[in-house]
Amino acid sequence: MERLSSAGHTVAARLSAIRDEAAQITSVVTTISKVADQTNLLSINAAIEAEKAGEQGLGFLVLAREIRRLADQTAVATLDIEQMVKQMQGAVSAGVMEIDRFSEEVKSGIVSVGRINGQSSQIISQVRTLSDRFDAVNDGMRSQNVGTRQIGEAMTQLIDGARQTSTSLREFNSATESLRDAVTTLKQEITQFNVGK
Amino acid sequence: MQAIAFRAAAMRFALPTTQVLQVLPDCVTRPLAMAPPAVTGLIRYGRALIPVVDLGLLLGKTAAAMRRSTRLLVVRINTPKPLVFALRAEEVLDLIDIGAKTGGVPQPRHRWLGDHILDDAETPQLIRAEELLPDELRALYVADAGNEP
Repeated sequence: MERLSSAGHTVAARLSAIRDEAAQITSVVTTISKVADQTNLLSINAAIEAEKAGEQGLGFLVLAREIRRLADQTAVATLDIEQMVKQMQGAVSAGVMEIDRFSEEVKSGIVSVGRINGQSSQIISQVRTLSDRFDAVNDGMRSQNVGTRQIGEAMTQLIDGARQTSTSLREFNSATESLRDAVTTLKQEITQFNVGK
Repeated sequence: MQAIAFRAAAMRFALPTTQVLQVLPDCVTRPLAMAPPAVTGLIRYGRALIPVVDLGLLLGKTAAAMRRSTRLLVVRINTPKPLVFALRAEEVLDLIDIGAKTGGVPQPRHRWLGDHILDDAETPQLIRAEELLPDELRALYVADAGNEP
């Protein structure tokens, strides 16, 4: 990211240099334009003088016209150059603005990456401390597992006990029934031995 | 015969070179107190101060724009003494031949508007420089005609 930022600065500096060069071209074009204007003015004044000279000035009149034409062509060409330089300056200015914006974004990116880096370090450190806790939790779970198994075995034993108790109760019930039958039989037999008053 | 072509109030005009002493770049004029509206001020020409007449203002329109092609035509007229003044106009860039002419629409109230040159596509109207100065200025100017540079 820092290399990207540095490259952005370099491009911005070069665009700035191009802008300065364009300004110098504009200055030269202005000078050429002024020279063309002065040449045009001179040729007009030369033509006025040639006209006053009458027949003798005719050749000079033609010369003045040609000079004026050249001056006009120069002026038109300088206008074209001026226009091109203006377009170039516009493009360079837009480029410089874009690079500045890009640079700012890269800077902000560097800050964000730094912040994320710090946060990642904190997370890693916190995860490291969690490892010990995970071991403790693991041990606890292992103990819980043993305990659960023991509870299971105890429950099996309890079920067996309950089953035996049920069987015993059923036997006890049967014995009670037999006893009740015996008592009934006994009661009937006793009735036979009943002596009236 | 040739004339200097120029523009004023978006119209094309021309002035015969025989009446033009010199063409100068446009410059800042020294204001002239109580001057007529078309006279923008004075400039130094040689050892004299001469009035500058803006043709656009004289036409009742706007003054010539400050452009590089806006120039001052130093004009000399002989009515009856020689008078020198400057005419400020736009697009003073070329000379044209005065060939065939036509009178166009007569404008007796504006005697300085002359014939039209037919050979040029824009049919420039020739200026009669001797009729150009506003009357009040001419009156003052003629009274002090020692302005020959």
